[in-house]
Amino acid sequence: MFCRVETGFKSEFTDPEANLVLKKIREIHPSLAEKIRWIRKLRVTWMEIDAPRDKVVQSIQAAFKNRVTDWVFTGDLLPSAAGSTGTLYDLMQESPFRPGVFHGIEKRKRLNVHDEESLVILDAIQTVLGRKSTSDRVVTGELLLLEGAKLIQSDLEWVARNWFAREQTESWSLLSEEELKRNSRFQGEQVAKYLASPHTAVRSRLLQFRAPSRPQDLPIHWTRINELLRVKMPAIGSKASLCQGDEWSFLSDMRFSSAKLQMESLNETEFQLCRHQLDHFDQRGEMRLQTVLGVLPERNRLWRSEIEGESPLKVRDDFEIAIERVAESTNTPLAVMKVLEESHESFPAYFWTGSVSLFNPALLPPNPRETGSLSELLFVGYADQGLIRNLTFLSEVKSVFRHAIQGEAIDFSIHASGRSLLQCLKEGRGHLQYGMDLHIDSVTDWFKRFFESALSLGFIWGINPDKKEWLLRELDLRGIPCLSFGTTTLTGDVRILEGGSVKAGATIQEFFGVHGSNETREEALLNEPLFLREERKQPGQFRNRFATEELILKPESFHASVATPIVVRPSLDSWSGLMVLSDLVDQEFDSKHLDYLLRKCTAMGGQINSIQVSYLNGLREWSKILKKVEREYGIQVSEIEFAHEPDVQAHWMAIQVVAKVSDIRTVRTEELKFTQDRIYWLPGDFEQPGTRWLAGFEGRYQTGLHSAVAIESTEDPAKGVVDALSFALKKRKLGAEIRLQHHFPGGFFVSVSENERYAIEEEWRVLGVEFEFVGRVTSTPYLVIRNEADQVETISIEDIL
Amino acid sequence: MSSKYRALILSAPGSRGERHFEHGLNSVGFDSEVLSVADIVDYRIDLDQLCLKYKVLVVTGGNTYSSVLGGGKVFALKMQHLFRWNLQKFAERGGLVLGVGTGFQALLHMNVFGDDFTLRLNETAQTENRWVKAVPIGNRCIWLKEMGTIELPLNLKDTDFVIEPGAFVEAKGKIERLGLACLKTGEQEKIIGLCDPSGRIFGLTPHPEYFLNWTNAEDWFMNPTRAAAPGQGFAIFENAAKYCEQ
Repeated sequence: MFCRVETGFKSEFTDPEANLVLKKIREIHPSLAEKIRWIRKLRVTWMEIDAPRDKVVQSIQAAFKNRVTDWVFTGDLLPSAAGSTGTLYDLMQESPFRPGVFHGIEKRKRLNVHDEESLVILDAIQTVLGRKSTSDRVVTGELLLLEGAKLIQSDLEWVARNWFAREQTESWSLLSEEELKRNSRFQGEQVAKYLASPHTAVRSRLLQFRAPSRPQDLPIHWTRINELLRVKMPAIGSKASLCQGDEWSFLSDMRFSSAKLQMESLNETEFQLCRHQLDHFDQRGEMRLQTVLGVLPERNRLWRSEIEGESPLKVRDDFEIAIERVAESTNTPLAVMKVLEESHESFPAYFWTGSVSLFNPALLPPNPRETGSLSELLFVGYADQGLIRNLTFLSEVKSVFRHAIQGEAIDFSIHASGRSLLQCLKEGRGHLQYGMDLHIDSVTDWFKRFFESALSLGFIWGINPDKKEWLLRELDLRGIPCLSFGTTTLTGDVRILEGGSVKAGATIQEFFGVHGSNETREEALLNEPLFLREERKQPGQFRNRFATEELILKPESFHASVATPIVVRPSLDSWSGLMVLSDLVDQEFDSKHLDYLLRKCTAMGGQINSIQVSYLNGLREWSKILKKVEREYGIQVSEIEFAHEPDVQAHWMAIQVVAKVSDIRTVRTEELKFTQDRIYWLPGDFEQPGTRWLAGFEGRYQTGLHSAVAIESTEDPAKGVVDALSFALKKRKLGAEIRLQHHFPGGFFVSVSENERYAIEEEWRVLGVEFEFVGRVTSTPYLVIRNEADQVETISIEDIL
Repeated sequence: MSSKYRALILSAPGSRGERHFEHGLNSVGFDSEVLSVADIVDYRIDLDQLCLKYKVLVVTGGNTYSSVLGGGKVFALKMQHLFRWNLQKFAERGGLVLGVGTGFQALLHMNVFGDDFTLRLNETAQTENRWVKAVPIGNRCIWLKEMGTIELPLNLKDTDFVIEPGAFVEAKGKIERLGLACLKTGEQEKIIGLCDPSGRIFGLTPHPEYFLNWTNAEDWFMNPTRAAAPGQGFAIFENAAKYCEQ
């Protein structure tokens, strides 16, 4: 039941606490104190006690009543404990000025504020009742009773604010004389109003931050991702260890993978797509973000078959559907970037997919030598053609796989699509490094040929022999064909057995040595451009001029384009995110261009994490540039896809720069926004503290920047400066007045408002950041450049662009 | 004195001076034990257990339970409703009870001295922190046996002793009490301690446990030769020990 209890001294006693309040008011506000002719203070308690009325009355009597000195006002619960009328009127009668003008100020602890007093009262009440209950609630407060004919509302508010209530933890309200005399405030519904369950309030507040309609069985552990994103960057100069295969590890639990998607035939595309999906499937990692970058000209070899009359657009649509299906089936946030370049007409089309995924060491299979367990090798595959059927197959396999992992029936899985058996086994080195026996007498002829040629869509699973029967039955139920063809061993040998006798054998070292390692990748790179038979029209024109036609980002995108980085927020529980800048470069690629890409991310506030590249007819020069970046800047580089196709008359490199963003709300744009903003130049080398400051490694006033623009290092430095400023000013049709006293070799332009400049400049000085005031943003769309000789040149932004 | 007499020092959240009591009681020969409210519940010490095990019960003072609902009120509720202790019965069975500061208030809230008395907030609404001189009135109180004027430290907000006006004359005639000494002419008697009719239950607002040594007095250096002498509060514990030995 709800009840309200007011306790105060009887009228014959003075009220020292109330007198103390009056004394303090008198010290500060004597004129107001003169208006207060009489004052009293009462303790107020709002309660909800889950007990019968007689028990509640008994407990109130025991806990609150002091027969000698106190009156207890409870409405109609304990009228005998108060004066003659049972209301505050009894107390008012003691006022020296009757029938005076009375006012009340009531304060109570705010919800969710820790109220020690209420906890003690609750404990006392429950002690009297002889039981504990979580449904009982108590809120405490006080009521100040004042009499003064001249008191007005503002006076009472002043008293409430300054002397009576602490507004941070207590709320207060004014009560009129009529309200004080009546007992309506003791009614249950009035009391219940102040007793809103704090637990409910907290829960409802938390619900605001709940991710909307996220599937409950999402396999991605966003909390884990969130933790990883909070991991600090390693210090510049640290060296990362490379992993085998085409996975590469930066923080040991963050992985990248990439796949080149050749659009020449449907089957190949299909396999590559599936392969890409299986990459992650096999790694048992948790995929985070997958970007797809490609070249899709209107007229090129992407025509699947001109005879069939399929248009390139149709091919593109198919491709998109396939990618989306992959993304859906793996719950992967997906960014599709389509690069449309008119000048690529004579070149072949490729799609690169790249992904940044998380690797969960807990999901790795145990070391067989440590566990002493052996696995049987099982090929699970499908030979039928058709994209949709294959995707259906994949979903079936996935469900079996999930059950099998839970039931500890599968020790490891190697994706097998599009590779020969030996290649697959080589890639499963981690699982097979202690030896294996391959029994080929029981396998069919069509499988034997896969020792040399590529396997169909499928996997090789290492299965637990004890669970083999169960797994085969599960596969059989779903109509998934499978074939047992060997076992792992601990002998350190690879043996091929037929009819019980060894047909071929080799040591593990020999076996894996033959099939190469990372070292051989360098050989895949070309020394020099071979296919420059024709001078390309306007070389380099397509660089960074890609348009984003469409962007599919889940769950949330912040900013997207190919030329500017994509920023994603993987977890709705956190504002930290990833920034991915993708680019497709040709043989004109040089270190300045890479530097520009990195600075583009930095200008937006990203902390560069790593670079991943894929080559088509890759050049050694590129590799050297990337290695240099890795060595000198400590940025991790992974070369993840090599393709060598002499027929293709081009050199391409798909490049992805991945950066971390601690708070995506602070990501800056590259456009200059406000007139009269001050423009500063900051040098842009990675050794410079200015770069570290922009990336957010140091300092705290970065949020005061209105924008930051990376300046492209071109042969003509002035051109880089003018280009950077023109693009930054274009969108809002603003202009700038700048003074170019010297050439700016790269670096950044940042814009700062007049108000923020002092704090930011001071921080730059403290951190040793070099800066130079260059000019101001103006409202007219002209670039007014004053050179060293004080000559002024005015150019229209439109003309420059 | 043999150590067969045990003393229970009862503490609650916010209480103070337990260790002083322990030291004082042990010094006069008791085997004292400090137990909190939670300990009493855990050990299930009911009235019978209390009477059986302990000869002396000390209800400590301090700011118990943040003095919510009045000093000592919740402490009293715990003893009454949680432990179900009847201190008069404990006294009837030969036990001694001492309440100090808010412990005295707790005894008042438990009506061990009758329901006509209480302590209320003093006029300044501030904690009174001073030394007071007191005179025992009456001769039944075991704790104040053969004691003259004593001086003890006081640290309490609720120092105004109030007797129900209707019962004033009757009550005052009956009670054994500790009155404030050095009253001005015409000043009404101020009660700072109370004893029940049996003489075994005694409560007082000043703290005898803080005057166990002469050096606890604020002016002890005026009489340095007495530095090693016991304080006046010590005499109260000695009286309890003497009673138990008889």
